[in-house]
Amino acid sequence: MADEAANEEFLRVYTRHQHTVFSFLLGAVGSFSDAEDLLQEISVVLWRKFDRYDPDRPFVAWALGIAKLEIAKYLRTKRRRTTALLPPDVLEALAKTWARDEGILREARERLASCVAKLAPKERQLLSYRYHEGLSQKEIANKSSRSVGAVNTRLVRIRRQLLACTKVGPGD
Amino acid sequence: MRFFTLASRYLDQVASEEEVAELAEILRKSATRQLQMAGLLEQHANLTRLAAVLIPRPEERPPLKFEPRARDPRGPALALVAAVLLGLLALSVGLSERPDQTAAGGSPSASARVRASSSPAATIGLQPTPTKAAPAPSASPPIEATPKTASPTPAPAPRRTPLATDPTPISTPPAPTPSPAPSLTPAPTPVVPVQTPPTPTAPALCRVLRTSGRALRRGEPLTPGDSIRAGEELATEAGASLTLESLEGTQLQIGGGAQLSLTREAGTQLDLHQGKVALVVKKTSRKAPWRVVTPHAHATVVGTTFEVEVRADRTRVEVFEGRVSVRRVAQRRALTLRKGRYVLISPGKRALRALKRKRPRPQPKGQVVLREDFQAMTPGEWPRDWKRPRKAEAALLEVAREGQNLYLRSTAPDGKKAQKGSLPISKLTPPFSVEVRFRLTGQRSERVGFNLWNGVDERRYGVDYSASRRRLTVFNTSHDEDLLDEAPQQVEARTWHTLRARFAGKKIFVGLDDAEPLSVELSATPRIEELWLVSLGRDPAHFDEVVIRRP
Repeated sequence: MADEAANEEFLRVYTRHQHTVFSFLLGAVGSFSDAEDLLQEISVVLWRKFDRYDPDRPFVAWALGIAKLEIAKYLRTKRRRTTALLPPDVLEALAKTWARDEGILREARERLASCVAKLAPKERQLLSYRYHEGLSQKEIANKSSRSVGAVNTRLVRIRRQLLACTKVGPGD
Repeated sequence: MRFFTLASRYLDQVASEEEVAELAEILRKSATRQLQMAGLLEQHANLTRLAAVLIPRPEERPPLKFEPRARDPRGPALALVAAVLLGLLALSVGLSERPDQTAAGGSPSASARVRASSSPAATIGLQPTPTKAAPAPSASPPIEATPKTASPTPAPAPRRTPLATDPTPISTPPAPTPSPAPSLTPAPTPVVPVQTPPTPTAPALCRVLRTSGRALRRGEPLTPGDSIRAGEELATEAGASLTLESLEGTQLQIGGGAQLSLTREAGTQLDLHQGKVALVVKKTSRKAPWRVVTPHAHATVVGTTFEVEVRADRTRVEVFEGRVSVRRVAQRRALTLRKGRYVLISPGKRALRALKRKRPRPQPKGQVVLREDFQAMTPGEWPRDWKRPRKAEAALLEVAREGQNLYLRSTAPDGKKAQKGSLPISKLTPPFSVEVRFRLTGQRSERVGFNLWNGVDERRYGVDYSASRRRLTVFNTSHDEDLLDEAPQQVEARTWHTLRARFAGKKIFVGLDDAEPLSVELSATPRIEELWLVSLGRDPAHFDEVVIRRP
């Protein structure tokens, strides 16, 4: 009975925060597939360790603390890394930001859909290439007859625009 | 600008090692950039899911304008499909996390809410739905595959309870009733009548950094971490204080008995109806200045430190750094106030005149400074609404000040009426030492020590002695990480002992009584902003004296 209650409590809390954990993992390992693999593993670890979670502490801080350890293990086992990643101290700072500004980031996530809808058709088309079809910057450049630099610049602009629209911060 | 380019290249995995190093350096230096990076990562993660529903693939886009199209008979059906998809999407992306939602699985109320409140539904309804099925959310929950057996986990390690209540708790809604279904789909949540904010879609302008005493929003107490939205009326009770931080880093220190609200339109406007507010305004663009509006005056500022006090008959504005433009409510002509000047504005038409302070304000540098509410307190008196933490108890203390030393002394060491003591300190930097004289009562569960809030890296450190483990520890409460865990000499119950901690640069030297101190190195030189004295246990230990000493 107690186990069941603990399971339910875990599900309740984890469901609320799994997006945050996934976003953090994405920042740590870069690729979606790696982040998804890691999320699978970390979810189980969080569930197993949930009886050690102190409800007086923010769940996000606890979960991301565990996630950092799992990320380190994962990256040690993954021998070949093709892209450079953010160092652990920066990830720690980001984890603290998530724990501290969780409300702001959650609200931003909720606003994202309406912000995407406000984008110009060409901008949404670019996002479609990048996020729906999963094309790289180079592939998008080939497909749209633009330079890679132009694609990069446009993506930067769209991301800033969405960040400003979701009220996460001034897009200076 | 460089930050966004680097961050975007990092997200697309095309950043070189040098670029990632540069990005890391920017993130290390700026909390605002850290928040923006977290926002970009959230955006990056969620766009994958949104793209399948919200963003039409190029070949599926409708013909461009100028060609009148016959009404598509599939329109209503497509709109319905889109609405359902959007409802599901909303649940997966996070709208389902709202406490006032009813149930998982695209309940009628959930999709109705989306259709009614957001423009994307209308956009989708007018465009062909993507033929490709929406992929499953990338962050799909894995728990269904790993059902929990009766006892799958090893015995839990002794849990470390943070000594003090967390100063930045999650501002979560009341806990809903857990779902009986063992899956990670959003759990059903009871509909709880919630007081509707005045502007539910208003952006968050600030967050609460600290509170002391009662600070209220629509009658509800504020806690650190809460977001403040445009148009919300805030108030502090007499003797209380509230510190807010805006997204760009401007800090507002609001004194007791204040009433105010914030709005944003071409900058941020603080409507101060009553009370005193000190602002440390970050240098923002001239297009987005901070304005303080009182019943008597308007003050406009870009990157400075100043204070505004409103009484019934006048407003007083004083500038500590930079310049502030001040004008009467009904006049256009403004007075520019420089550093060290102040102006009194009362009703009337007299020209405003800048006055100079006769005596400079005492600067907090180089000395221990008590907060306003502590300075006003007489020894032995504590705020009536002092929060009693659920798990922590501590002896009641008296506060006394002598030169640069600060003394706290217990007056009711019977344990039954114990309270938690807190000593806020403004920017206390090493070298300094903290000595806590305590006496254990003999209960095994006792722990005694103090916690520190480090203003540099926003970590919380604890220094304590645990009677059950018989160990002296220094730990990072933010990350549950032991920095030191040693067994000192025997600490006898019912005998007075002294826990000493000396802070020098990045190092802390910790010891009990006269034993040789052990050293711990922190990641950065701390700037202690708050110190809590806490004793845990059913029958808490007694504090006799706490001394904070600066050489």
